[in-house]
Amino acid sequence: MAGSEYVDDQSILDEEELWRRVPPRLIIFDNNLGVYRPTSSAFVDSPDGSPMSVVMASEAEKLNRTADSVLIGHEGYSLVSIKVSFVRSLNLGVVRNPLPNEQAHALVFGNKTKSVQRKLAKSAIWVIHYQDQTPP
Amino acid sequence: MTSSTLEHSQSQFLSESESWSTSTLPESARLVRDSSAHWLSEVVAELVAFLSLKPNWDSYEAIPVRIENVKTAIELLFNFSAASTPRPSVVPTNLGGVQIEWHQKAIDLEIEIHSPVAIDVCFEDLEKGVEREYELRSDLHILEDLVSKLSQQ
Amino acid sequence: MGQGLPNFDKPPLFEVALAVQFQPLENFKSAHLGLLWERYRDEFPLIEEHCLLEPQFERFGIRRTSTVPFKLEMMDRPPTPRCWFVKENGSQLIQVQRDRFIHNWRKRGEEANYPRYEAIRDLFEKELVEFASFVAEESLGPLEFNQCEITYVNEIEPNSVWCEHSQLNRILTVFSDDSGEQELPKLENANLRVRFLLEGDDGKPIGRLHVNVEPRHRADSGKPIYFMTLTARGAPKTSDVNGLMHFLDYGRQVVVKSFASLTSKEMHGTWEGPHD
Repeated sequence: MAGSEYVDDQSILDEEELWRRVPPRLIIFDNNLGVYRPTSSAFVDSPDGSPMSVVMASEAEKLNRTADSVLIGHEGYSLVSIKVSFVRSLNLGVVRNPLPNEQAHALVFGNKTKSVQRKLAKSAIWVIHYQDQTPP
Repeated sequence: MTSSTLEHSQSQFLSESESWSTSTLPESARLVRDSSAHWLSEVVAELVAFLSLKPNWDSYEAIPVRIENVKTAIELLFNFSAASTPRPSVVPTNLGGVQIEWHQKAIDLEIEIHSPVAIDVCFEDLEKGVEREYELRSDLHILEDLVSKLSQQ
Repeated sequence: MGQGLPNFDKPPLFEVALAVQFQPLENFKSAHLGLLWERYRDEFPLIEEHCLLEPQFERFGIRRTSTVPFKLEMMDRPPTPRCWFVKENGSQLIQVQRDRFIHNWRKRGEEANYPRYEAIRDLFEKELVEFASFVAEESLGPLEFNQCEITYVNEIEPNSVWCEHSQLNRILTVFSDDSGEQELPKLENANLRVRFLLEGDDGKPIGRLHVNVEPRHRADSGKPIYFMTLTARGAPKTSDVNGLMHFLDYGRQVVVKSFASLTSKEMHGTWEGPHD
């Protein structure tokens, strides 16, 4: 399980929004919901075992950045947002993890079963939805 | 009779056998064209296109999709889809796998192929509130039953 | 190991192969085959290149056979070939490709004696351990075994029991040309492909036994001959060498018992057995 060495950072408020990039390949049409949404496979830990990367919206805003800045260099990508409170309700935790090229970077750690991934995917809200698709 | 003449006939014999390890030829590839799901060829083309994804295709260090997983996905679709099976979505996964998924008829069905012998399945009947997860290796009996639920009118 | 198994003094064996398939080694390149050969070269001084074997998996609960219904290849780089490292007399060889390791014994010459399973098994295990150490030293990736198989190819010669292909019922216990009250035309020959399920202790399928029987004629004399191939294939219980060898031992038992069970007592007499 990725992230057993991490402790949930309580200074990150439940209201915080976490942004994650979604490449076009990972967007599907959910006929049950009647909407395009990211697939569950978009909410996974990294191949090297480190926890799922996100950007904290409030931290980005503090740096005077807009959501678009997260997609720079990633043409065609979309951006979704998940609430920290929802992440915690799935027994996952959040920890700050600033990187040289992304000061607002954070990690979502904990066991992401298929069921958890699907819940994350269904709860994700579009921040920037790159649309070049026609609904089926 | 010389050994070499015998070898010749042996070679012909093995070219049609089930064995892949004898020292002669493997079984010839055969084409199956009798699946009647109208969307199959389009979905197969999508799956094959995954093979051109480069490392870091998701911007989060994803590895390229492995050919054996694409192949397994195609085999599963050929085997489990009928004319009445709705078209699935197919997506690559960041560990080189492939996911086949349906979200219709109040059913969510996701089949994640990690390798040809490691397949995770997640099924949810949204009306009945039933959710099940399966970790499959070589016994895929459950898949036919789950996919057939999507095919029912 | 061979206790309790039917044993023939003169088995009609032509070839035996012990094989394992694993997750393709992504970093395995043609140059590695040369480096690997160095480790076996003293005993296997000859080398041959062959086309790749397609991956094979025994799966259950699917309508179609395990046969791969299509061919899918990456064309962005030339495939790393399958190499044979062959003994001077051609009787034994190692086959390697990026997802396979195989050891074959082949009958060479009328007088060649079958060295018996135990001897071939020991060689295979020793060579595989060497291969595993090579893979680790060269950082070629994890060696995760996913299927293994044991194959016996038998060459059934005409003798006092049968002399033409139509007499398959004299060779096999499971074949009859008796049509009862109905009339069948005269049988000319038969080509059989039979699959048996191998089940674990819990009754769940763990593999298959494939039996193929095919009529042939010797190219030089035109004499009829039947080839009978028995292959036990499945996933090892654990993906390490122990799990693999356990499956091969089990598969060997299945193959040997099934061969004795599928062939007639009259034929057993000509092979001088079986002894337990």
